[in-house]
Amino acid sequence: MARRFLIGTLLLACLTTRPALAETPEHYEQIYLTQEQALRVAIPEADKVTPRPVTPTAEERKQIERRLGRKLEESSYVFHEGTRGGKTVGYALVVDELGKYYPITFIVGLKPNGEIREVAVMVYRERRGDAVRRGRFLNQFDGKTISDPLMVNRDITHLTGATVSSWSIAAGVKKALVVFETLIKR
Amino acid sequence: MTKNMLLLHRWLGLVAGLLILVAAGTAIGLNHQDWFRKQPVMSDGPFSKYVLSTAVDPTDAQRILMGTNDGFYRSLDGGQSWEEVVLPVPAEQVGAIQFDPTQPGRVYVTFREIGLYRSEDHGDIWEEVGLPFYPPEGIHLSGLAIDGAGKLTLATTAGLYREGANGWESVGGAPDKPKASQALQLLYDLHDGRFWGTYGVPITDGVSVSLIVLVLSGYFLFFGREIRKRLARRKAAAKPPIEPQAPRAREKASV
Repeated sequence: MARRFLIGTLLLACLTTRPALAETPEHYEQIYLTQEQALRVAIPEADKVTPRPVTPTAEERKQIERRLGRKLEESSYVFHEGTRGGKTVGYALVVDELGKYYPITFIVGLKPNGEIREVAVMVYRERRGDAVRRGRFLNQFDGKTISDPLMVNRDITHLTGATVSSWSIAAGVKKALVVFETLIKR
Repeated sequence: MTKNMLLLHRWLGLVAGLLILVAAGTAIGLNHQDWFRKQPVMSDGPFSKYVLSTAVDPTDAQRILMGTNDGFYRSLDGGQSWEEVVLPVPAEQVGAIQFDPTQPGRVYVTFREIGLYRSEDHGDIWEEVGLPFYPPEGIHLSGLAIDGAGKLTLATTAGLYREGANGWESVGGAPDKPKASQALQLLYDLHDGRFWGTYGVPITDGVSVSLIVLVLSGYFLFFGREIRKRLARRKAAAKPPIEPQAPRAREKASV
């Protein structure tokens, strides 16, 4: 009886985990933070958050692309400016960055001087690799600035089993910093 | 016979316990490779690394690109000074760099386990070139050639791919390679628990720690008993021998 139960459990487990090996990637959306929650995490001191849309000029766009070494997909960005008593206490940008197959949505919280305060994953859309939302990976970005390489295998260690997602988040954080420096901090 | 079997069973158990310790310990190690990884030190230039590829821009001989085992560098002054090319992916194992002879400014670079990238502006801004396979999943890029018409030929660990009128075409090779790597990946996934999804890793860690505790406590019980036995024997041997007693008085009287 016990043996049958064990075999049955193993078969069931194999059947339920089979999609992990499938050729076609499974869309497996996990929402960890809503935008409101993410903004609270990214700019915790703010008592008011105001959206601040920015559109780079052709020249600024080229400048950002050169600093990132890649083309920008977005034509504009919406920064969220957090204030407390009328004083700016931080900024946040929601970034969509392509993971292995689907985009990862995460928020990058910045101090007014451009230092990273917080990075938090909001939506992860693949079955594997969501370990990048853990502090063990994301805490590596805290306190980094535009002068840091922000590159996996340089100053960021990727997570085993989430290599591509680690690259994507590092690239997205760098993009947020460069866009902030070019369009907000100037 | 039974005694020999018990002895064999005991020693096989000890050896198996050692193997379980190794397997469980390495499973935990594989799951947490970052514990052992050192942060790489930033290099001053490409020459302290293994240089794997070099290319000179045909339109500007001062512009040189150089790829190493863990970096991609650019010189704008004929090699006097170098700067690291910024990329959205780790620039590792830069296998080939090719300037397109038909399109000034267009240059391709391959990263062995990452993919093929193209720049249209001599190497400032890069974009990924779509391939019919995904290099991080096992088919790695070994070399790149470009013909007079600007068409690419890509050497991979699964054979040759050529850019044709309808995109990439496979030109023979080893078609069973991806299957083999998938099987290997399955083995890895089963070993480190990732097969079972997000919670598989902590579960495997827990099982590994339990196995280690089980084996160590087994050793403690086994060797502890053996040590206690030996100590008792030694203690007994150290005691002075018991002298024979004189016969009692009543016994003497009865006699």
